[in-house]
Amino acid sequence: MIKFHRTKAPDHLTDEELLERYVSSGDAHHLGLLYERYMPMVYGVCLKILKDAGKSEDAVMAIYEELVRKTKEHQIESFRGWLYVLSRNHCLMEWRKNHRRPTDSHAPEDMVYYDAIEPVFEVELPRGRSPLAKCLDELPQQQRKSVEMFYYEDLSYKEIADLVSEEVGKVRSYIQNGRRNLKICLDKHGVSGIREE
Amino acid sequence: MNPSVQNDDARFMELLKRWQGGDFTRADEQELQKLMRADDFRREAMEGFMSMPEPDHAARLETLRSRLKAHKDREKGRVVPLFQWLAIAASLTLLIGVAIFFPKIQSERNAEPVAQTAPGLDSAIAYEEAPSHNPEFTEAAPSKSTTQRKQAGEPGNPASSTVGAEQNLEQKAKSDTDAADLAEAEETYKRDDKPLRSSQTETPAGNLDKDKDALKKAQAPSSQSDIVTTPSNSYPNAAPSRPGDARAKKSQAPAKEQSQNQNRVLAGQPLGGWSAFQEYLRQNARLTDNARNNNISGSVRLQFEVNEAGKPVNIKVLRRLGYGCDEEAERLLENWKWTESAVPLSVDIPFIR
Repeated sequence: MIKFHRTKAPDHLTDEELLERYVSSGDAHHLGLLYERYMPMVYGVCLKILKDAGKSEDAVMAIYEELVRKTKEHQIESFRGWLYVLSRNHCLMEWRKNHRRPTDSHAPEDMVYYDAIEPVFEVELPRGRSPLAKCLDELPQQQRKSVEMFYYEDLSYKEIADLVSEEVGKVRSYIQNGRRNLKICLDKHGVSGIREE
Repeated sequence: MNPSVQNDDARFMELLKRWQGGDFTRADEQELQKLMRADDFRREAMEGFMSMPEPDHAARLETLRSRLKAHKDREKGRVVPLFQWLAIAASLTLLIGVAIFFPKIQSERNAEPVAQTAPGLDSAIAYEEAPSHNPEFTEAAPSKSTTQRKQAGEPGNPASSTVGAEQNLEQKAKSDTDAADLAEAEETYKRDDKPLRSSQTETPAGNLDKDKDALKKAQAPSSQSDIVTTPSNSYPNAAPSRPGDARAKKSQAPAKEQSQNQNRVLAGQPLGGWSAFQEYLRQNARLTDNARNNNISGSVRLQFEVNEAGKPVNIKVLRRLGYGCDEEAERLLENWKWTESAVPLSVDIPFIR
């Protein structure tokens, strides 16, 4: 209730300043504001580990609960880094609860997400018998179309979706899977399609 | 706090929004990748989204924002959770008390065998209570043999109070079995009835959970359509993971005597117990190639009944995954034997990459 007479609006407060306000006042409002800043990223990390949107949603709320408690108990230097670690640990524990056998599906830590560093395609559509041309040929039609439109015709997801009469989510999926299949195919041909910019 | 990190995060969030909305081009992707490479938190977050490109995450994030807001407005200290715990404690105490007093009450009642079918109106007269219908009950009772549907309530049963329904059960059980069996029956009913009662008197989705929202969102359709014991007994998901779902753990303790007495409400179980079944699923549930190629994972929810041979029949897919996984889930389900069940059961069959 008692407002600090500062000139800064909440938007301009640093993470640590917001955190300090919460700890000293006990008003969860500040913590909520702080958490909102990072919530999509926390959600994304949960998605990666739990592979389930519903569970990730629950995890985001559970992590918030943990925050409420732990921020009062610990002295936190950098909120962002600490939140990252907290989120990962929570989701990993949650994952292990349901997948206790080590021979089970791969633990999330082991997974290499090659999607993160994606092949950078040549500007021109490859012709002839280059490996990339061959691999594009081998793609399922929907994936191939979406990949070509995105990378060579420079269309957005939405534009592609309108053209092929599909949902944006589907287009994302086609491109994602198409890229993955391309990489697998290119690897088989001994080609590294990755170029760092 | 590093201001450039803050700026990059802001830019990242902006690109993420565009990625979700569809206003996203190849150039955006290159910029996004740069931001990802520079920071692990952003990288892992985006990898998470990219591993599930189809669902509408924006909607879910919106929901999360409102949940967070509601949480903020509500919570001052730990009052709310405390209240929930007190409510749970009170309910448990009440139930235990009721369970203790039951034998005393029923020993005072006569032991007339009660007709099970529609001409059970006579039995209502014997109890000297007005036959009243609990609307939830009559809705929920499908066209099965009424001998096995006591708990759902029948026309003529004094279903106006749950206590009456339970007395009914105790009554019939006693007339058919020994005292020894009865003791076990009581135990079984306690387990079965407790969640049932709460599903009658409170929201169908169950209230003992810490977070009702989580349960509702996880879509428990069968709790709406079939109140009897489906939600209570058979949400020991093959991969139990819903937070605070205490019921799942309870119903994992098998009551062997259940299968021997026709007059009890039977909720079937996998032969060998739930942990054996879960283990079987863990070892055998594999994503179809189609699903794997499309980056799909999750779980299939099946509802089914158990026939006399212990085989699942009338299998319905309550929540599908698609890409051939639903059929695979059915196949896995059918290859396991189940104990007799008077009520439909539901399980979640998880398929993880």
